[in-house]
Amino acid sequence: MKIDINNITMIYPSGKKALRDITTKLESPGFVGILGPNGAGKTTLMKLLIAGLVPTKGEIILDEKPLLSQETRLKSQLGYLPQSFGLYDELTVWQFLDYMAALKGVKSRKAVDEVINRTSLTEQRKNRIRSLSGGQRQRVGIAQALLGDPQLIILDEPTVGLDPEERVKFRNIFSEMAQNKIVLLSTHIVEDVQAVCSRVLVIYGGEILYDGAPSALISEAAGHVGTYVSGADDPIPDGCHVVSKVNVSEGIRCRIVAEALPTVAANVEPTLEDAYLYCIHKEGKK
Amino acid sequence: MVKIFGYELKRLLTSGLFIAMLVVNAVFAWYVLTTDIIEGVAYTAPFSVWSCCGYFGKTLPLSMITVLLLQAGYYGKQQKRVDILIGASPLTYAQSLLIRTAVLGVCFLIICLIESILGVVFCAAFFGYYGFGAFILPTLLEIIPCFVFTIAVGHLVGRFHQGLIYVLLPIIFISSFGAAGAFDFFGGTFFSAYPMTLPLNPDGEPDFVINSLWLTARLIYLAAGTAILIVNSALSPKVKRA
Repeated sequence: MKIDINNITMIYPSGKKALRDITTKLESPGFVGILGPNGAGKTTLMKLLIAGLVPTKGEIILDEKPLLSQETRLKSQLGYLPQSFGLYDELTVWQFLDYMAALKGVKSRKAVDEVINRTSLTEQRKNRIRSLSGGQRQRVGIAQALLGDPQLIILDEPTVGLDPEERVKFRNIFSEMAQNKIVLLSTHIVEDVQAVCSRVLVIYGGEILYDGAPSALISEAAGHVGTYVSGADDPIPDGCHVVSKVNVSEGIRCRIVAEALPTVAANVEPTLEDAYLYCIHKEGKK
Repeated sequence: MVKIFGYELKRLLTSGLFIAMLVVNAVFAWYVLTTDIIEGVAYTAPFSVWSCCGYFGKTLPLSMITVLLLQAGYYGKQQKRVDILIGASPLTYAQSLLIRTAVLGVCFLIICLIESILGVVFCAAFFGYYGFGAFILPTLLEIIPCFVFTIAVGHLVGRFHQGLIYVLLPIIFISSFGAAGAFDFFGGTFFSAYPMTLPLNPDGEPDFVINSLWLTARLIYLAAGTAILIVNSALSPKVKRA
């Protein structure tokens, strides 16, 4: 599968410009992480990719043909987990997944059993959805996205509500699936992207700021990340952005990103989170 | 499609709203039979076709209100959150509309069936009457256009806002006191007045005839409802225009 996103602009009727002239390419196999602050345009991009919205300008091409002209084909190969979704509370886990399988044209009952096992819902399979916890509901959401071995998997904040152990487990499941598919993962948890994605898109203000390997993004931030120990009331040096603060015996250890590090800061090896924040703040300055 | 229909039907049939409204409809139907129809419609026997049509004319408004209440659930916040997942499946908007209309149709038919059973029990128990064959066609002509037109309007307004379906409820209620003309939507008033204008047969009752103007009105309601459903299913879903 190959998706070309050509000069996409999305302006909502309210006048809000969600995406500005976005161009990129998605090809299988590929595990792409999308990073960006709230309101950056990540969800809008995902809705455009599932043909849930029509772009104001530009077009999306799926395997050499316009996506909107082959909506049914796209959706028959799509696994989608939105950030916020509802389930039929009155059905059991198995019934709901069987219903979703019917919607996707998956006839095999085995497929339902398989995703139930994969998402560790075996014990809850006969439980009504209304009796599930938040994390279990999220797992049902993930299970329905994995039904029918889709070729394009779009996951918007999939690990929200999961405990750390489950998060790692699902991260690995998504990574396995990306061996022969396109998996698109939007998340605020940079660690998830760093652990499994082969490519990262940083979106800010409706534009793509970075599109490439996570390692290259980290390299770009080298020399722009530092730490220093400050007092509780000390001001943050000009042009610096604090990534994290940790209380230590000498005071507060601040981890900062800056175009030019202040002399008090010691240069440290950047992480993807540092690199992402550096990328965002560099653009914010512009 | 059959499995999706089965699950959607199961959800509605097992809902508290449907079960409660089914009981209310049954109680109301029995009340209509024992207080109104027992006297016969337009001086005809309580087991005449006129009385049968008059009976459904009186019970249909509540049946349609029930169906609209069930239909409103398809346009509520909870359903919209599930529709995000459904919208990402290959099921088209038109197919979804067709399934939901069919599910509501089955719920409506179950209500009508319960009312019919009550009518049969009433005629059999009170009057020892069992010849119901002649009742079927006029009854279907009365109830089906009502259902198709109401449900089509409900789907059309519901896609804009769930609240608009609730606005239809008082309109349905007011319509039940409709004019005696052939265009009387539910037929309650028409079937009480029209037989009085007909000559009496040797038994002292007017023979049942399907009035051509009334039939035309039913066909117009049916055609209009079908047209609204088709146009609605052809329009792209609201989300696409966001």
